[in-house]
Amino acid sequence: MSAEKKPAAKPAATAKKGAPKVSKATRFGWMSLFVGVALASAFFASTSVLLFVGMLPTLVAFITDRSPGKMAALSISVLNLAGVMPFVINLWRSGQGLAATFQLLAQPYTWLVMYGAAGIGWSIYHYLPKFVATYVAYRAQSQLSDLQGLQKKLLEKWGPNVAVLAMRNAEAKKQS
Amino acid sequence: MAGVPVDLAGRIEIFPSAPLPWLNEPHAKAYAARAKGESRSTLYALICDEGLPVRGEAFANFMNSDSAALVRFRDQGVVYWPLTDQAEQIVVLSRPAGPRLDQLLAEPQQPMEDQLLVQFFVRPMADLLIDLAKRGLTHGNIHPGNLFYNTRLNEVQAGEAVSGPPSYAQPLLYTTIERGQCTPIGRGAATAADDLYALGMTGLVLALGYNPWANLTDEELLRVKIDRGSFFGLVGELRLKGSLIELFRGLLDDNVRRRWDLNDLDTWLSGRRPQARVSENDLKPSRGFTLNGTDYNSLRGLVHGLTKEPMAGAAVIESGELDRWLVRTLSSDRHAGLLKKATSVFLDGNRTATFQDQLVARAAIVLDPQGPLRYRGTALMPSGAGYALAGLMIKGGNIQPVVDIISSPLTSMWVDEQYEGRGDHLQTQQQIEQSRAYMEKRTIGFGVERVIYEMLPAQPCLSPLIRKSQCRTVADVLTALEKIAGDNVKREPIDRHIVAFLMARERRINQAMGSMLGAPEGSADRALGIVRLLSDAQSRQGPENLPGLTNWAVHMLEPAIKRFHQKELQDKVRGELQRLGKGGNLSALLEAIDNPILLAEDQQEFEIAMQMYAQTVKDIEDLQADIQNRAAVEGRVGQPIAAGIAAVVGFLAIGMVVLLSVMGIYL
Repeated sequence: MSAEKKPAAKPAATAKKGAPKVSKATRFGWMSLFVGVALASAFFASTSVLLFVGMLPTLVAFITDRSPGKMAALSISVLNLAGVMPFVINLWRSGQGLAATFQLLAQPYTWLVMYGAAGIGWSIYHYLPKFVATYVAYRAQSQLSDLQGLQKKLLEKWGPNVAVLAMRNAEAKKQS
Repeated sequence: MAGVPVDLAGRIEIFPSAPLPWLNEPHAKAYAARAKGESRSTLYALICDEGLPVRGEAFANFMNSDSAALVRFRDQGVVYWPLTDQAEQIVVLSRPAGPRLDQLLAEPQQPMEDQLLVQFFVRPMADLLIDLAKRGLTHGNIHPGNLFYNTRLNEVQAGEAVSGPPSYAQPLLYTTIERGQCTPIGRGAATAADDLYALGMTGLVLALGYNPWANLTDEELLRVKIDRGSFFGLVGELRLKGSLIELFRGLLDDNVRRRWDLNDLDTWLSGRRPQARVSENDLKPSRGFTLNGTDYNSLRGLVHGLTKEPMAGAAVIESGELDRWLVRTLSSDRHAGLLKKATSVFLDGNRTATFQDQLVARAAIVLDPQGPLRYRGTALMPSGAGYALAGLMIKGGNIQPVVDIISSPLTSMWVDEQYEGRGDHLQTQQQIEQSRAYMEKRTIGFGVERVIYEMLPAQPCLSPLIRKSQCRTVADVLTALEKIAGDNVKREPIDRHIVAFLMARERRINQAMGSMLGAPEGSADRALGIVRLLSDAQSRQGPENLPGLTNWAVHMLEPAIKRFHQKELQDKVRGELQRLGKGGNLSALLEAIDNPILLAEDQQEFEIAMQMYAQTVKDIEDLQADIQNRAAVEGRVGQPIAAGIAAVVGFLAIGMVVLLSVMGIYL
């Protein structure tokens, strides 16, 4: 009976093992950010409101971007910040009141600059990879014909055995 | 002399258009011949039967004999013989000075006077045998059909004894019982005792003036000799003069220990009486032994019967009937003991398909040690095994019994039982032991073929490829291969016979080459092995220039060329070989193809090329994947680049905003 029960315990163990681990450093980072944001919100409320509203595209991008490395969020966030930065400076120059914040937010120009910068970031993220992929494909095509030329030369010099034995060796290597 | 003569090495001219039938041997035809430069034909050439091994190794010794009682051996060799359209082995001899004695005895003659017989026949023959003995030779073919009447000297002259196997043509009347029991081709080298027996029997016929036993068959003659003894059985009621009786009794004694030797004959010829030889008397059974309805009244006769009917023979041995007869009727516990010793272990062992034959063969050896080795219908003397093997192989006969005899312990048993005075058997045993070792090795260069060439030093190569050329030396083989090279390039220039022949005739050839030659046909190793063997043979004995054979080797070496991986190198080596092929030197060919440094370099470069090829295959796969799956490239390459560029642009913009604000410029 006990012998039958034992294997059942294993999947549980593997499931525990398979669960994503959150490292202590990451946990500490998030905690620090939360504390920092909370403190900043408490001491710089007007700036925080502006940043929160202005950086909403970044927040949305971080939440929706599931890609490894969060490249879309990264592309949007820096330019989004660049779009928000002139208004933060203006706010600080005018004394950091909530009224000044709302005054800034009441102007369409503010929204256009903050979200436009984020849009530029998104555009770069959206269009540039396609251009890069086209370039990579073009370059690969050229490399491909170079490599095929090299193969042809090897076959001419060494005969078909060079291919047969190379593939056999590679296969053997893979199996071993 | 009419017709175009055939030339033998520039020394002798032979005339195919001038046959000399009266000088024919049963296995060799005679033709007129003359020495180069002589105007008169005083010689004759015997064209040896292609189907029989000859006793060529003894020729040189015979040629050195200057005895007047022997025809002069003048020359030997191989010539192209137009009548058979192939090469033939020939023996050239001086023409005898008179007719054959059997021609004279065709009609009964007056009995020869004692003195005349001695002067005309016994003394010249004794002198001849003594002369031959000094040269380590025996004749082996003494009988009236091979003796000539030398009219000039009024004495006999013995004919040749080398154009076939030893004693092959000797009629059974003139052979001892044991040699008469042999298959003619397996009689082996005669001993002086055998020659003395033949001398005695021939003398007896001459003394009588005719052959009274001409009407008896060989089996009848053998039976008389065995049952009643050669002298008493054959002479019987015939009248002989007293002075000769002693001579014939001494020479025709069937017991080799009692038979006169050359000293005894010499003593008798000098008018003295030879010392009596003491030996165990032949046992006489009180009653015969009946085997399959035939009565045998002597032990030797019974053994002969057992070997003729091995099934019945084995049955009486197994049942103990033979043992009881030996003890009770022959009164010989010694023979019964020998039989038991020879067969008991064998009887207790595993029974194979040849059990009966082996059992009878063992019994025959101990009960009739003087007799030949008798096994599965073949009877031979151990020294005749090589001739029997070669003869059977040439004619496509069943060689298995002879192979079995050589491979089995029968020969050693036989030698152990021989009369200790016969030292030649020890030499035979050594030869058989060596042959057994060769037989056990199955690789090319050994086996039955090797045994033939080891046992028969003058045997031409029996390879079907070059058999018609009658090659007797390594150089002959290479020359013969050179001749057939043009038509045979698609097959190999060797077979088991050629390899065995070359290894036997040239000891310096690496004997371990057999394993290399054992590689599969068409492989590089085998091709290299063949060329190595042939080049070794050429450098040691062969002709210097063999363009045909070298070109043949070039064709065969294609698999060896392909050991080089680089095609350019292959073409280079191929071109080099073709160039060297015209030079006719096999060693040069070998040097060009068997270059270990070049091979190692080529292998090293090939391995690098293989790695490169494998890498290109992997790279091409990757590139094709990039081309086909652009979305992945976008994600893997494009997005990080885009993120990087966006980040750089963003940070520059932030920097610029900060800088402008510091400068007092606000957006």
